[in-house]
Amino acid sequence: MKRLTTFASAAALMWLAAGAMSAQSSATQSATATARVLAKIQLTKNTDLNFGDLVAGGSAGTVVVSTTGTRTSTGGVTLAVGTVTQAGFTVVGEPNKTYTITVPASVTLNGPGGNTMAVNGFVLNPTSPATLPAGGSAPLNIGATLNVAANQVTGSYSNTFNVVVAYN
Amino acid sequence: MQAKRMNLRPAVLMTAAGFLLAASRIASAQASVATRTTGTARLIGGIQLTKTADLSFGDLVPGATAGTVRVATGGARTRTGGVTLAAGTVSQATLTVQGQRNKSYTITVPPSVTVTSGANSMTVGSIITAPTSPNTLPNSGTRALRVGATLNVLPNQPSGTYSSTFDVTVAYD
Repeated sequence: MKRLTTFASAAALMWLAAGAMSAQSSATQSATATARVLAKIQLTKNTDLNFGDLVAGGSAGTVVVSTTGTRTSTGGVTLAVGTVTQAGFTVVGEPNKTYTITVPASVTLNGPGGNTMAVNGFVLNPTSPATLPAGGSAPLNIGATLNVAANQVTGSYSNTFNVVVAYN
Repeated sequence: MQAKRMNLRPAVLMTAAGFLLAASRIASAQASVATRTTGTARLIGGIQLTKTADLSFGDLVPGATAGTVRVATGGARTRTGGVTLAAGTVSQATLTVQGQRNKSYTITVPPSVTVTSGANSMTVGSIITAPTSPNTLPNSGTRALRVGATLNVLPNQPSGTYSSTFDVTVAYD
């Protein structure tokens, strides 16, 4: 009887140990892999930046077009009637996603006879960085300052410049 | 026969109690000398795996050509091909392995995982771990386990949040 009991105890011990081994000799955890593919960000131009018509004076001056298309002048520049617009764009992309807007620091407009004027002081509405609304589409308006030299040679001056939008 | 069975029960119970006592004594003393069985030692150092962070590739913009986004086990994100990276939460999967010190273990991850967003899918492959498998638990009995992988992005992959779960398993050798 004593012998039988000892044998039974050993068997129970082994069972306990085996149970512990099978329950704890390996462990598994589930992890999640996630990636968000964004809708491509797109920029469509609606209007070009146009400083309109102006008359140069005996001293230098500037013409400022605001992001809403309002035109003002400083110095020896007189404004004349003509089409005046801010640069207008539409940004389309991932709703609620933040993006940066990049414009050049300055652009040189080329006119007749190799004459030039500098455009700088670009202003953005919205400012950068901006966040797309829930609808995923937002306007972008850009104004700038045209620098007119004293007695700037008459003619049409123009150039192109790049506006870049990119997700953060 | 029936009488014998009834006599056995108290004996078994007593032995089980004695076994547990022995186990708890070894555990509290952290002794490596187990005079009973190897089963006693394993009971102390069962292996456990706890997840603290999921694998996240962050935000990206697909291109006209295929590309990849890789998150290294250190969490750094790199890209190839026609994929542009955008901000967003980027993280390697992070887990903690806990078990018997100085014990060797293997780490198992799937060869690939398909992440889905509605009817669209992408494949996550090259799933790598740090440390690599097999590894040995340090004296503390605890070691971090980090999992990185490569996401394969198709040309003009439809936008959406893609996800899936995958299993990470650690097992004593």
